[in-house]
Parts: sequence; structure tokens; C-alpha cells
Amino acid sequence: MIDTIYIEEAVLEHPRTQGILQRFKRAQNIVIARYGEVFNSHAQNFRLQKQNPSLVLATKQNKRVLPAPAQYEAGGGANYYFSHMLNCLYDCRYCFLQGMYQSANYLLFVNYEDFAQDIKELAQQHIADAQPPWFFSGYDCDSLAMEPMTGFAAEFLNVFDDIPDAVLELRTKSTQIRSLLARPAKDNVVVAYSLSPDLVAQNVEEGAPSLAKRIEALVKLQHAGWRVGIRFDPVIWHEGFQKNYSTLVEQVFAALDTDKIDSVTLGGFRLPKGYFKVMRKLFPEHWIFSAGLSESESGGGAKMISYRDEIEAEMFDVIERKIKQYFDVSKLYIYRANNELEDVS
Amino acid sequence: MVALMCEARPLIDWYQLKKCVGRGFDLYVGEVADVAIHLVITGIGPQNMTGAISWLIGRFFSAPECSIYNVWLNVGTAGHTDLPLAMPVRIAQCIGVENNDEKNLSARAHYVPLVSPWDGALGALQTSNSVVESYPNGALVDMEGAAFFYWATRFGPAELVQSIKVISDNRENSANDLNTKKITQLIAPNVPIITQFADGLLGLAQRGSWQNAEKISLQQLSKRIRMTESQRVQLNEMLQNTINAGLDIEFIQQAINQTDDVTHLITSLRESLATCAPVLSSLGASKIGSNKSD
Repeated sequence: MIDTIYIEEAVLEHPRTQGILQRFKRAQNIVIARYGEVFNSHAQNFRLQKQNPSLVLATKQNKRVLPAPAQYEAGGGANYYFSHMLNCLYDCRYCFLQGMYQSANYLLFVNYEDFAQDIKELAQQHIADAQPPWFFSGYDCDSLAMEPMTGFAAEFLNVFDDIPDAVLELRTKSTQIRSLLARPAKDNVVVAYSLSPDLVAQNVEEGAPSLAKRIEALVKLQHAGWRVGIRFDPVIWHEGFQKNYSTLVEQVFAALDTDKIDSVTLGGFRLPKGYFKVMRKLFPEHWIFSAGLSESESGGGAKMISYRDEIEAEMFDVIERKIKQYFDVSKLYIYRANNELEDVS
Repeated sequence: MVALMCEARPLIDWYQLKKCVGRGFDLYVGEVADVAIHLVITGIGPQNMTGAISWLIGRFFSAPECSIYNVWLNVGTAGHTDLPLAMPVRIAQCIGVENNDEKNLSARAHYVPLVSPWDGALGALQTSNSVVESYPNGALVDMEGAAFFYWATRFGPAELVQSIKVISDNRENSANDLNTKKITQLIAPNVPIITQFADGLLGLAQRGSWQNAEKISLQQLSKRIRMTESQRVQLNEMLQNTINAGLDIEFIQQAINQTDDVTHLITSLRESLATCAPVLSSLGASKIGSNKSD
């Protein structure tokens, strides 16, 4: 439920704004000049604000589609990401958004048409590439969790109808898949689910659907012909991780048609040091920030916090070996904390 | 934080606060459900508000171990063109104006995070540093709000820095007709809704607080072993981490009791943390609430 909606004056008359305001008729509406006045205001506390986030409707004026970080790959050629929304319905304790933004408010950019135009122009630049350009959504939000309000997937599936040589990846934990199931599956869209063992999900993925429900959604999508991806990312270190992750892999591959899984990725818990410090200050009592971690430098020289190499190596080894029992390794991608993508094929 | 005694009186009575004798500002203190209440009569205007906040911080909340999760609530009266007298309004936006000149804004608008529940009206507040003859378009007007938000948000999360204004004058009812008795009569009927709002803020503050479980151990250790401030901070963080990760409390206590060397203790705890995987509880779900199905 949204109690308060901040609306940039420039998007007051935008049809998407009007639709959302109709949906939340009881919310208090506050008109603002630019979203930064609310979203970037000082002294905000993410932990407190997450208890009851407001919605901010705004326009994204530039830098709408950006090159994906070096390690972000799932089978495409050029990799890009874009965020129609900042912040997420769920409250995952490991999520970098807590350290990146001061505000937990949902910031929705309603000018989808500008994003679409930028994506089409970029896709055109890669028309002669051997591999399709890959556009990741769900980097700064969950792609589907707020679909009934945003209509994001429904809109962007149409956009990718016009650029069949480009791939859209919808990264999600959500079971809001009605808009996908209501239409024929598309060859250039991958629905990728972030999955964690049940115990981990219960402890650190507050508000997110249970593992069973996510797998159920994956099965429905696969049966309907959609390309699906599996993201074991981030892998969380805890006592008994060997058994818990092995069980997770077994559950996933038992439920799905393994040959039709588009890709599987494995990623460690990793954060820029600055974000980590903010998150630990917000949640000083949380175990996830307390053990097994070390500081390192990324290729670009930025300080990162991640699990110690030997811990990450042991975890990846256990999970990778298990995955290989079921899955073609040429479609397995491993993101190690040192930012180098390992080709395991 | 309340500008005038006549505005504060209904709140003092409600909470049964006692006057605290001292220098500086008039202070009333009390306790509700184990929560300490400090009510300060700040006086009129931004300078008085600024001074009162600094004074309160210096007197009660300046120690490093003090929680930042304190509720700051400004209650007072404000004028508005046409809102009815005695109507309570939660401030959602505040901007300071210098010398009654709306073109001379002292700073950009502060948008108050609206996290805790409030069923009443929301409003924008324009704070002037002198008496205003006319009402700004659509906004409430007062003399302390901007200073209150500016300074209180320096000492705590903006979500816990809130203001409720009760309409005291409008186009039909001049501010010149106000007196202390009338002001108290305007505030008094709103005390239940104001205190209910304050309860909500206190509940929100508790969501940010956490128990510093190792404090006792560290205090004991501080008495026995000399350590630098930097070591104290490191050790404090390390002890918290060991408890978070589920390391056995007896092990930690034993390590503390057996050493006279803080550096060694920090190293030893760090090594333990490097290899001790956190123990997750299957009760996690009930601790953090059941998973939704969105």
C-alpha cells in the first residue's frame, strides 16, 4: 500500500502517472520540482524508511541505458542495464541498494518511451555483432515485483518485439508473471530468477516469495515456452551451506527441464566498501556483515568487500560441482568477487 | 520542541511532565512506557529554536554511545489562508523565507519523510524570521519550523524529525486576536492525536534501535585494560560481530578474561570470525515476518 506519492511537476499529466494515481486514490499527492529534492535529501535513514516507503514519480532525463559492469554476463555480446525504477518491494539484507541510496522510497521513471528509444538506438549499433546485445533490467529494482502498478514488463515486451536481435533479461524474485503468461513466449526475453536456499531466503530476503513459489513460477514460465535463467547470486556463507545449496540445486533441476534453461550464474556476496560501511551502520546487529569477509581491490582500483577467497572458492566449488551433475557447463557463468568472469566451459 | 508555554501546557499535563530546574531553556521531563520525554520551551523564532536544539543535544545526547534513534517532534501553531482554526496539520514540506520575501528563500525545501502513520491533513510550511502580514499561497506559516528541521536532522534520522502545527489564524481570524488562553484552547483538543502520532514515531524509532549486547563485556574490559579510542572502536565492532555471527558467548567472555593485551584480543576475535560460519535459525522467518507472495 502506498500512502504518499511525490510527483514531479513535469510528469503530472503523463498517462502512466495518471494511471498510477487512479490506482492509489487514497494516497496523499505532493507535487515536487525534481525527484532529487525528495530522493537525495540528507539525513534519510533507509532502515526506517523501508518500513513504509513512498512512491516518487519522475522522469529520467539522461543516462538511461548504461554499459553493464564487467562481470555482468549471461550469454550476450554487448551488455547493458537500465533501471525504470530505483529500490525494491523486497528487503534483502545483502542488497547493495541499502548502501547506495539514502532513500528507500520507490522511484519510478514513467518515461518508458525514452528508455525504449535509447534501447532501440543501442541495439541498432550492435546489429552486425555475432552475439546479441543483452539488456538487463532489475539491477536497481526487481523487474516484476511491482508489475501491477508499473506495467513495466508488459510495455517492454512490446519494445523488444521491434528489436528481435536484442535480448531483454528480466531479473526477479517475484511471482507476478501474469503479464508474461498472458501472451506468447518471446525468443528474445529471458526471465531470470534469483534463488537462495529456503533457510537463507527466510533469514535475509524479507518480503520476497518463498523458494517454492519462485520455482513454481519458473516452471509455469518454462511450460509456457519462456526462456528462463537461474541466478544463484549472491551465494551466502553459513553453517551447513554445502547441504543447503546442494538441496537448492537439486530442487531447481528436478523441477525444470534442464535442457531448456537459458543460463545459470553463480555470484558471490560482494559490495563496494562504501556501501558496505553504510549497510553495516544501518544494521550493526546483522550476521551477514559480521563474518568471513575481507577487503580487496577491484580491477578499477575500487575497494570491495566480499567473502575471503578461500571461503568463496569452497562455496563455488561445492555448488559448481553439484550444478555440473545436471547442467551443460557452457551455459554456466561464475562471477567471482575479484570481478573476473570465469569461463567454466 | 515547543515555542511557547501556552502551546506546551496541554502536552505537559497529558504526559504529567515535571519542570527540570536549570539554566538555559525551560525543560519539562517525564517518562512514558520506559521512554524518556524532554519537552523544551524554545521561545519564538529560528534563533531560539536553534539554540534550544543545541542546548538539548549538549545536555543529554552528545555522548558517542547515545542512540541516534531519538524522536524530535515540534508542536506549535501556524497561520494559513483558509484552513479552519484548531485543525492539526502534519508538515510534509518546509522552506525558510528571509525577511518575508518569498523570492528570498533561505534554502531549498526540506521534504519530511512520511513514514509513520497520520490520518490527518498534510501541509507545506513556510517559515519566516519575522512576523508575516499576509499568508503565503497554499502554505502554513510559522517562525520556527525551518530551523527545527534544519538542526534536528543534523542529530537524527529525518524520519523521526516531525512537526505538527495547529491552525491558529487565517484570513477570517487574525493573529492579532490571539492570546495565551486561546492558543492553549486550540492545542488542547488535538493532544490525543498528537500523542498518538508521537507513539507511532517511538515505535518507528524502535525499529532502528538494536541491543548492543557486548557493552557489558567491553565496559568490564575497559576497567581492567587500558586501550586507545581506536582500539576501543575496533574491539567494540569485533565483539558485536562475534555475537552477530553466533559465536559462543562463553568463548568470547573467556577470551576477554584471559588477556591483558587488546591487540591480541582483537586479532584473536578477527581470526575466529574469519573461519566461523554464521549459524542461521530456521526461526528466521518468524523473526522477520512471513514471506509475501508478490
